[in-house]
Amino acid sequence: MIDAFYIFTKGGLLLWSTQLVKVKGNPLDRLIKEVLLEERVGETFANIDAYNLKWKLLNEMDIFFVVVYQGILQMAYLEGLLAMVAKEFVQHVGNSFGNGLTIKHVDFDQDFLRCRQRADKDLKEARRQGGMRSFADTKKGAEVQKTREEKGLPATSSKKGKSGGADDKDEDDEDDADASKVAEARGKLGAKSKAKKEADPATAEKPKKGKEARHWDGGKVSKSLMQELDFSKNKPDDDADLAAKQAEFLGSGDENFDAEVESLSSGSEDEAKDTGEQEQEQGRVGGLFKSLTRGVKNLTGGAVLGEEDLEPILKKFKTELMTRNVAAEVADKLSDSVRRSLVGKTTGRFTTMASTVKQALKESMETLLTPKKSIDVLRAALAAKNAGRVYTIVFLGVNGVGKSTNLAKVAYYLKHKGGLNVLICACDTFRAGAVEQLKTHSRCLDVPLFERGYGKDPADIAKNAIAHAKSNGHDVVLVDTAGRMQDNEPLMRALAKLVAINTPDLVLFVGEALVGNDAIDQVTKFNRSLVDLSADPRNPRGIDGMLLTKYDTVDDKVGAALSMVYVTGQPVVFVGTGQKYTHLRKMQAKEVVRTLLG
Amino acid sequence: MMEYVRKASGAIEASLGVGSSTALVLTFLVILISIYATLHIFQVVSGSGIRPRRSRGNAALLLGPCGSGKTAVFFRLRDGEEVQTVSSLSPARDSFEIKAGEAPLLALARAFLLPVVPGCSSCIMLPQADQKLGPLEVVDFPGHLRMRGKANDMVKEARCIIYLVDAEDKPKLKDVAEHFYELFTHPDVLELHTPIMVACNKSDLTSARTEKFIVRGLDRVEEIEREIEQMRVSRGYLGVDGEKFKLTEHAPCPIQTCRISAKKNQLEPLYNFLLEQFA
Ligand SMILES: Nc1nc2c(ncn2[C@@H]2O[C@H](COP(=O)(O)OP(=O)(O)OP(=O)(O)O)[C@@H](O)[C@H]2O)c(=O)[nH]1
Ligand SMILES: [Mg+2]
Repeated sequence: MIDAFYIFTKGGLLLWSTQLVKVKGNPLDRLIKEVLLEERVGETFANIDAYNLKWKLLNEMDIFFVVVYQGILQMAYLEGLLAMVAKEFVQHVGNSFGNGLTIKHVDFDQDFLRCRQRADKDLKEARRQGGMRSFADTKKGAEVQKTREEKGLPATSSKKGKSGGADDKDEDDEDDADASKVAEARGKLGAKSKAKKEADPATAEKPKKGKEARHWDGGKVSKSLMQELDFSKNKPDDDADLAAKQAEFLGSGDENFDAEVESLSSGSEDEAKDTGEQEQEQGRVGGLFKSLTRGVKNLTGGAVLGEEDLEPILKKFKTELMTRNVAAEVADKLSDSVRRSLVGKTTGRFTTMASTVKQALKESMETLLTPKKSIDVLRAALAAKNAGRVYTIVFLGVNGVGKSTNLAKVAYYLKHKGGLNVLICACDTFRAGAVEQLKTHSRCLDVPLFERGYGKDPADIAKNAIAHAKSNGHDVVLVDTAGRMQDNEPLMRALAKLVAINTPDLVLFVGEALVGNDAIDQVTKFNRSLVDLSADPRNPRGIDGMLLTKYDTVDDKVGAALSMVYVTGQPVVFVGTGQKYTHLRKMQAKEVVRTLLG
Repeated sequence: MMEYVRKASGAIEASLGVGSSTALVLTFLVILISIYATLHIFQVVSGSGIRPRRSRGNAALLLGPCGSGKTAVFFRLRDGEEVQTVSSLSPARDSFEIKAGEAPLLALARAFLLPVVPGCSSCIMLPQADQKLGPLEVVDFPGHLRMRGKANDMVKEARCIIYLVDAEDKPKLKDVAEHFYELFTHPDVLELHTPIMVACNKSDLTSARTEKFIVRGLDRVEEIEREIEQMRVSRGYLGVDGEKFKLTEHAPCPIQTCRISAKKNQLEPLYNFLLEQFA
């Protein structure tokens, strides 16, 4: 049965609540802070701690109804209960509700009891009519059963539907389409392909493994190969070459680094442009005569937004977002969220529906792009220094996205802006020339390099580097890792090990902002692998932030930033905007949103 | 008016050869559209720099991290009542009168204000029991970090800011410092010098140790200052070079500090601050 029920306003008033069973922790608070405030209103189900939460938002009044329960309950029952309570509640408060600030508490105990009894009765009724339907008998249950069988998981026994034991949670999730949406949004966008892989990881991986892969897993590399890889030996240093390289990366010196990285939150300069802006009504004249009042209201404001009004407008925005490289799923989710937050609302005075939608979308995206935690790497590194700790950043990503180059930029930034003593650690022990590339940067930057050549275990090298840094007075260690494909499980496992052993302060995913690029898939799978393969499953460690490279080449197609933030829930810490060391910036949420909405 | 509409619709009827009801509707439409256009033009004109100099807004803005008690304070200020809250998802704003004399006399007698700024007028000023203020607009803005950007956008609408800090929630002070940094480098704050009252809330939780209590309030402010000090290195210039950062001295806007309790309805410093700002 249900554990608790809450009714509260968006403004933060708890109008009424009941706990039928004492709720441990504060799942409601987490729901608000981690789901509802994260622009994921498109969803209506979440699994938090040991609890399942299902909710309903009444847009007309800005009220949330949340039911908290454990184990399994039929979604139809919950939805019925929520709808009933919502209806009863609206009747109870009547017109006195006003702007939502007059009523601060509602005596709702009796009403709630009635609703619950009715919902329970309905449930019993349904059960009796359909005979005693256990979970596996229901249509959805059968589906789950099927997918389970396909996945090679043991089929659920049909008696499970009755008792709501803790281990049934799994089915419950699958039972509910919304639940899978939640999971999907948080890094399971590639769930389908993952499920396939799960079916039999061994067979799925093996055939793909070519000759190359063998160098990798055992960490055994033949001597000749190592010599081959270590081509630094037959390439003596060349000072002229160094000077040329330095010129290449450092530029002519006229660049103002501070101005570039330090594009503080002065987003309000262009604000005037934004506020004065009003949506042009397009193609609305045709509908004007058909639904005169509606049209006029749309023009003058005061129209109540219905599903059917929002659909075409949202569709237009969705297409626009997708042409700017926002992933289709993300554009979908965003517009779902906006739709849910707008249906039933009344447009403001002299605002059209289109501009209302645009405003909601804009706010929604801005919120999404505003980091929920500090991303001031320099400050964190300085704080670590003050506390006598070495600050470690691990850079990871697929091949060729610019990991090393951007690592060098971060080194430059920390060294010059923060006066920090940086150590670069070469943990790409596989790709030929990787260590040399870092050597070049190390010389140009005048930052020491910690390397152990090729073929060694990267996790160990990183560990040694951190120890070395501690004893030699370095403040920061930047760990470069080998690029790898997101589907390569052994390699991802090695990465998870590196992270687990060294517990870096920041796990930074490096990806390209390019169009048609599968950066979303990459970041989702990197994150998932890290979490799934974590040494300590209770405290999994995923990606903490992202660095988007080649940001200067995408014009208005900055959608990758939005998509990646959406799927990971993590912020973009830096964007790379060119080849030089100074080409590193902090991303501006407002700027991105302005670009995306044209 | 109706006269005019009828005449106009007659003209349309004649010229377009449409039925009289359609013509009437058309006329209404034309009128509506022109009103809309006029308003639109007005908006654009008034928004584009004809206004001489930007001035502060008219709202008292409640800011501060999640759980610091903004919503609690909002309803205390408005109704004098205690409410049950959850974390806010959207701003609550309302215009209301503030009656400074509502608090119990005992509470009045206590001097809550930390005399951090010597000679700060509101430190010594006790509110008159019958003094009324407003109606003025108060905005309770959610503290969630994702809302930070929007919170900073609100600054231009604010006459003054009441910044609540949960005196017991030490880990949040890092966030608070970061937010202050954002505010102190925000163009609107720099231009408008929006006064900020830093109010350490929930002082009831430590009230048993009265003597220490005052020190603890100061502690918090010092802690915030230490955090800001660290950020000066990573984020660039703020304050005076070579001097330790002091909130009340180096911020680009007037800053006061005080201790309050929404739970015990001990909000005198806020009444005084509002009286001062909206006088
Ligand atoms: N002991 C004590 N508790 C308080 C006081 N003021 C507020 N609280 C409690 O602190 C909690 C958070 O208060 P809210 O008003 O919801 O906090 P908020 O600042 O609005 O938080 P967000 O809406 O998340 O930004 C509530 O449980 C309040 O009862 C106080 O003066 N003393
Ligand atoms: Mg609140």
